[in-house]
Amino acid sequence: MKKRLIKLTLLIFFICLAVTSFAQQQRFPKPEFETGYVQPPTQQPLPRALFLEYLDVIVLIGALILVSWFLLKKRSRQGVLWTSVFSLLYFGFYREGCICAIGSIQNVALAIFDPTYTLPLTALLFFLIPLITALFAGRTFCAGVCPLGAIQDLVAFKPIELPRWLQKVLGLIPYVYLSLAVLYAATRSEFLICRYDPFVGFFRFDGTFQMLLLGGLFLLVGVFVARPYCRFFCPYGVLLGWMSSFSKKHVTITPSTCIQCKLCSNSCPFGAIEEPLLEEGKRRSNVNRLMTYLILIPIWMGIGGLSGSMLHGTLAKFNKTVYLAEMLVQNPDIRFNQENIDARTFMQKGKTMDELVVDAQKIKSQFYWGGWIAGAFMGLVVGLVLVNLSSYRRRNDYEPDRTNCLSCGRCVDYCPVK
Amino acid sequence: MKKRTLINIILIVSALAIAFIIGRDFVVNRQGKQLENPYELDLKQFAQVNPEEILYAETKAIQLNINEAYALSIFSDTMYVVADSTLLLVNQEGQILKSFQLSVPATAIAVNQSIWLALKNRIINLNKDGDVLKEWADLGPRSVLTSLAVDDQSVFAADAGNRVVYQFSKLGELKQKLGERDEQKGLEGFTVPSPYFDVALSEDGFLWAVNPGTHSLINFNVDGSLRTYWSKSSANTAGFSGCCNPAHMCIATQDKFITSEKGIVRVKVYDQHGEYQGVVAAPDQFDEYSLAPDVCVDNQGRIVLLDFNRKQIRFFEAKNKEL
Repeated sequence: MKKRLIKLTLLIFFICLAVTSFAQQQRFPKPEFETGYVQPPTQQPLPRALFLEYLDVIVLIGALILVSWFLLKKRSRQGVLWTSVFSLLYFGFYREGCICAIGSIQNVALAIFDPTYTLPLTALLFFLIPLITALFAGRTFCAGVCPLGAIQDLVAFKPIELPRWLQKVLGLIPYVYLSLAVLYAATRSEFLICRYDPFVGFFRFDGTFQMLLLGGLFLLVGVFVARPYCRFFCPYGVLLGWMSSFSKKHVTITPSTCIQCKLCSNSCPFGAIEEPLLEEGKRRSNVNRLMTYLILIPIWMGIGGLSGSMLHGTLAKFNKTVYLAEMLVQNPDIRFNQENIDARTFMQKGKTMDELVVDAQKIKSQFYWGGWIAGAFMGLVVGLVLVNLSSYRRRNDYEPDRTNCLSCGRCVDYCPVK
Repeated sequence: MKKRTLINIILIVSALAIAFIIGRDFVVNRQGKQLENPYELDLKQFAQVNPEEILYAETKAIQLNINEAYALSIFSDTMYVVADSTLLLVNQEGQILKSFQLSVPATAIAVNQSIWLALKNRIINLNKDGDVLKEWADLGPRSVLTSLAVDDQSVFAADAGNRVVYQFSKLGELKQKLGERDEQKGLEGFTVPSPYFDVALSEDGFLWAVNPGTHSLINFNVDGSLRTYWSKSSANTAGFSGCCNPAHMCIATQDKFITSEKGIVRVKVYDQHGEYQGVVAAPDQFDEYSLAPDVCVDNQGRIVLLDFNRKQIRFFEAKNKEL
């Protein structure tokens, strides 16, 4: 009876898929020249039926629940691994890396700053659901649902441990990336995260040479430095880390008493297990140092904000309107250059130079204030990192660093206490 | 130890390469910077024509002293050229025999015993002295007449705006609309993305109309049903390419089709079944960014082109006189 039900469900599922593929056929197919013309790779796959987008959300929720269950209840690394393989196949190769929780940051940022942009519900859900899950169960999204993480996890054959200081320095890159991604999305300039997704070319079996090379390099690094993109680039990892810090339930290394065998620490390829810690030095001087760093936070923010605002001119040059305006102001003759596709498009729009300059100034102003906010944010991050380094928290056992732990479950597997 | 050093080197080189690729791409391929159009199809390769396929040679060109040319028709030994706001009657030597002032530039012309002109959305009939004989009611603001064809009983007018061919009696009475979507008649309707929509009559009096959006020519029965059609969609020399081609067309003896294309500007000849015969004028015989020339055939079997860019009437004769 159960088997029949499963078969019936699968049958309905595949019929739905088939019906959708008919419904989305283009009325006019792509022009087919008898010429060997090849369509260049695009950033986004073709749109699909709404109910299939909701199906993606359901799969996301299902996968998150499954991974959380494997980690928190079953304590099974194997379960997490196989779920991540499924996610790689579904969200990676089948969904071609889009829709993606990492990229949804930009949709949300754009929706906040641009009232004319309608945020797709599925994009919002992909943004929120992993964050909410992290608040309850840690970074289970990174563990077994993110296809970018999964593809890197599969090549982590010979992970080495990076020096702590290097991890801390490289760990600042995701914050810079997050700031820039939000800044560029909010100013309607660019979706940076999508543009530099290193694995999307593999997922679509299509991509420019340099993007495939970029993906290949990340995988090569990933052989020795586990999940380099997740740890040192992923902007969504920043948000997940914050949520995970406050997670209600997080994967624990041992189900009962830690015997301090250190096997877990050696097994973690991400250096995300904190060793037992006793306070060093004099307490008063430690407190004084902490207070100094706390007081310095506003100064860091001010320095960061000022630096960000000073960079606004350079950052704004990467906005196409600003770039076009500056180019045409400096070389007005380019307007009539038929070979220049941007100038030709501008002329065909019928806009005046004055209107273009006003638009560009408006965008530069947005970059100015955005630069302040992004810089202040980076200053805050630097300040908090210093505070974190100088603050003392007594630890008696080996514990996962909730912010940076990707909840992969390797340590669970290695723990001899069952 | 050596192994670890090797790994470190690999990691440092890879990290630098990642930083270089991202940084370089961000700066070089910045938004709005003029880039190569990734979707561009290089048409230059299709502008090359095998010299053996060129069946005609240019024998004469008449330079017109005009600003803008619009349409050409030939009747008897006289060429009728619509240019600026005038109608010029030009003989074979290029002498202007007569010149008639028009209220607005005409968009199409057909000539038999009298002269038929389309003035965007209405048709007027002149005698050979330029007197207006008839002036029919306009066909509405949407109408854009781009071609006329006349026989003893009817005037056919191609309307690119309404995507239909009108058949009028000589008195201006609308007999029928040809080419509207009608499954009973086997017609899927015209696809006319731009105002290039030509019609011509075959030797036995059946109407042929270009369906430019589908790169085909359609032949109608007297009752407006589909008689036959042929289609050649390809960027190669033997076919038609782009949004809307052929832009102009006429029918020569033995029901050969002479077609003129825009985009890759070229004039070609097809037999009565639509089989590609060869090239009349290759792309390199026109100016860069040229418009598709209007085409006609004169009494001597020469193919006559109205070159809108050079403002010339150009004559092409078959290299092999048997053609």
